[in-house]
Amino acid sequence: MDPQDLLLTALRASLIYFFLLFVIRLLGKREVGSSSAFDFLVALMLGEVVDEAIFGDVSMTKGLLAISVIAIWHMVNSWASYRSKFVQKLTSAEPTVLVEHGKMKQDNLAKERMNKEEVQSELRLMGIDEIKQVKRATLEPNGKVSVIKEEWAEPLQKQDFPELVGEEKAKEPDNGKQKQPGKGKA
Amino acid sequence: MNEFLGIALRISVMYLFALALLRLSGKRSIGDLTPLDFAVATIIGDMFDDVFWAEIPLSQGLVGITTILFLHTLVALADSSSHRIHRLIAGMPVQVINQGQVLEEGLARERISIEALWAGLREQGQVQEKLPEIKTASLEPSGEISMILQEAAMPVQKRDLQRLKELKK
Repeated sequence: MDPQDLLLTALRASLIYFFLLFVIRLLGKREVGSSSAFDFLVALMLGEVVDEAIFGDVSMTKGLLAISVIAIWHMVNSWASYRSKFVQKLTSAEPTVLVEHGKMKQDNLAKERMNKEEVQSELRLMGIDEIKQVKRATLEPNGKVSVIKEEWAEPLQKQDFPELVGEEKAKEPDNGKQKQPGKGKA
Repeated sequence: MNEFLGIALRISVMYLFALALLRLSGKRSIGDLTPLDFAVATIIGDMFDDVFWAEIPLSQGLVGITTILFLHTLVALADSSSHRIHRLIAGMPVQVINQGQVLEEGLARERISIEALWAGLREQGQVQEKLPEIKTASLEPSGEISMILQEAAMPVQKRDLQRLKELKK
């Protein structure tokens, strides 16, 4: 391999790298950092485009053009789904209720192509082994399962012990008095 | 100039096509993706650029990608409709702790080191010394470790306060 060719390859790789860096910064955190499955596919697309430009199979102009077109579409897409509810609905998923009051919602599971075992696995990952403790489990647009427990399965709160809440309130003004002189000196 | 327009056009078609297909697939985040999904995504990603540079005609690219995704969807449908197929494709949860005892054969079967198990438990705020407090821990098909505490180690719930009041009576 001609040393000059190797040098050119390194040059093209560097140029592409910095261009990609610039484009990804331009796309902003939401598009790149949200780890949606589509962002992943777009990242794959970008990755596939650059190798041929780096090895000189296609011209640099074409390579940069391709990256720009993908980036522009991605920006238009996120701008449109931010501006319009219709586009938002069209391009991203809606929350789906998987469990309601301890019962799995079969038709919703089928809609999301999930099965009972996957839901049970999600609950175990949250330390829940009794499904009856679950008031509502929802598959959120970001792909995560959120779980709200039944009131009786929630952890105890201070307000469940009125005497404790009263105690803290009684202390508060006292603390305030102690702190204020300190602040005054500083 | 015409050539450049062609590239831009083909990329635009492929971008919208990819968006539509992904919506139909119902996949949401990277966390949803199974190892097989990743393999399929890479295959598809590889087909994209051949279309971009017109190494293959647009129609052929669309047919190739649609076929792969069609087969993949069939597998996903079979996966969600049958327990047996699901276990075949996704694997089963494997118990690694039972009643406070580490199950060596479970760890060996899944090739998890004991250190990896402790790390998984630490991520959930559990330490090695409190092993007896764990009722079960399993390696889930997603690769994460789930943990269920013993009854006595569970946090106090609102229903427990009710029980306590009844006991006092």
